[in-house]
Amino acid sequence: MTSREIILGKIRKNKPDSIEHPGIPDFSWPGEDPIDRFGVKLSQIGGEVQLVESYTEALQKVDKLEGNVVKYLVSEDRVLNDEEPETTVINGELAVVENAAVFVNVDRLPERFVPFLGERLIVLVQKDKIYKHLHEAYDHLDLNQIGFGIYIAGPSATADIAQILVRGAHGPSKMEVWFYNDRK
Amino acid sequence: MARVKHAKAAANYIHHSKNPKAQHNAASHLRKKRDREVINVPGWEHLRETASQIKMHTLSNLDKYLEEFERKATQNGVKVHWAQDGNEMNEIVYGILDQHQVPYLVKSKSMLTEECHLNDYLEKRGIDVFDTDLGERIVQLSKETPSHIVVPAMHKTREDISELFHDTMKTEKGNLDAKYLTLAARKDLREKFMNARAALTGVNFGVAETGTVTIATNEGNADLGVNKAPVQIHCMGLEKMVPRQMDLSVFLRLLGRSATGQSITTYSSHYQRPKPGGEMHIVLVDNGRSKHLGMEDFWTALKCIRCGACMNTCPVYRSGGGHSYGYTVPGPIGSIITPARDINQYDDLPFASSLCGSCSDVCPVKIDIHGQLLKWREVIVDHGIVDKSKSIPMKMGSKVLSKPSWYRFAGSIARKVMKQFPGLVSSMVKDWTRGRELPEVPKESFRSWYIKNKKKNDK
Repeated sequence: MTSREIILGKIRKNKPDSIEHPGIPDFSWPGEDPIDRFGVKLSQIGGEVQLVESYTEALQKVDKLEGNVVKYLVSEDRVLNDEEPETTVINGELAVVENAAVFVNVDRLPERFVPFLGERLIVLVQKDKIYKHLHEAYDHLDLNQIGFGIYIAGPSATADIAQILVRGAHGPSKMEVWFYNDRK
Repeated sequence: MARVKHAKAAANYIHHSKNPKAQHNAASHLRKKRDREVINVPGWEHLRETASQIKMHTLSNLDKYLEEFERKATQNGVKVHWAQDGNEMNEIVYGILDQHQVPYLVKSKSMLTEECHLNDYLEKRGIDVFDTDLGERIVQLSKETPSHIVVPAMHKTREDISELFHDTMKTEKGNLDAKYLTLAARKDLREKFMNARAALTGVNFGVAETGTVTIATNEGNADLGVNKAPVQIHCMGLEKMVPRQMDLSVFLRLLGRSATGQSITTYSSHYQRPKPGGEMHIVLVDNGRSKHLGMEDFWTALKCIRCGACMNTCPVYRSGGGHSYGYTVPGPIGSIITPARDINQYDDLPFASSLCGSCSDVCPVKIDIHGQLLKWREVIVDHGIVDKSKSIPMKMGSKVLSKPSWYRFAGSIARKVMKQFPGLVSSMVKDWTRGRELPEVPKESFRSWYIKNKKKNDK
């Protein structure tokens, strides 16, 4: 018998009587300005929100950024060099108000390690793709269609030395979410 | 090496370690952060209850979900392995690394691999392991084990770490700046990350519906490692399963808040498929879990999502420190998991509790931790593996208490002896009187007082 069969056999023999799945209750709460709330939450964990009118305006702003900027926004953005960029700009799928997380479909990037390199990470998210909590957010995601996806909330951080918070443990030390009104 | 019993190890920590308060302060700090965050979440109790039921549902159908998970992951191009115990897991991991002739491995935090002593196994076979979580790196460099599952170097002070980094990374002597030290560790590991050919992580949740491996970290070390290296390996305990992607919404809302008071960890990654041109392996590890599932009174301990909240709140853990438990998972949850694995080796741990119940109150998946601690005590006493210094007085006590006349006689003797020879009595129960005073001796028993007063009142 293989280990697989032995383990599954033991589980079948030992498992308790089947208990029903409770379903996911409605955990909603009364309205709040989602972008405002998201901004407060993100600032509490060391990030920052910016509002731009349109996607085009966001791209123009990106082009004006100083220093070594690497953007992966449209399919032509495929350039990769060895040097770690100062700023990395990527697209996000959606944003979650309760925890200031953005979901990034990393399949859209040329390499999976892109969001974890550089000093400053900027994620562009469409303004109406913001959801109150994780239940709503997962409702708008299909992991079956994604090879690697990730929620990112704020900059990389650690408090492993005497509970003192330090940003930029291994990933970026700054994180911004730019909300734009429409795709134009 | 024989395990030192908890009481002795904890006493040693309290009286002989350099900084016995370090762990206490850190754990209290995390407990407070948790409270401040949790109070703002509408429906928190309902969320806990939902999580508990989802876990019970999953565990009671675990075979089905593991098979679905395997099927889905395999379809996604992932290689799934099954390991009955730690040794088999180590063999599988070594096999993968050996096949690729990998000189070293970057590894993010994984209590499962600590439990199975993977580092030792690989290092003996010539493969270096670099723990990349800062806390794990600190305990690795100081040749220790984690004292906490979320904050592995919780027992260490800034001074300790500064000295350690000076010795191992040539940082400036006496520099206590946490940022300076953290960035030194970042720099030290950077080159390892960039050139790694294999990376290994633990797993927080496995999703049956999508074959997803979910990993929650704050540093980004797990994802940097996994995505730089062509070969990625995820070691996962069987009990980490959840049925559907929507179930993750419940657990990710609970995990960070319970662990460190964060609404969510900085990174919550979902790996479904290997990177283009890369390899992805998942090792499903039993190591006693399927046996534990069959224990009627104790199987719900497998609901645990390893947030560490029960440790942060536990007065015994905070005082005695994480190492005193002598197991990878310390604290209240460790004390109910360990006897399920090996009751003879860990028979002392269910007694390492005041049964205050705070652990059960903070547990995000509502494990009745203090109830199970008490039940384990019963099992251990029934097994007759209780220390004689406890079992003999208990037997005598139960005899005396079961016979009213004996009880009354014993009481009258005790009152006399305590009055005449308080020093003698004190020395007889010296473990108890260390730090406490014996109570004042009453003139008579409650019974005689009551009879006397009742007569008075009846008149």
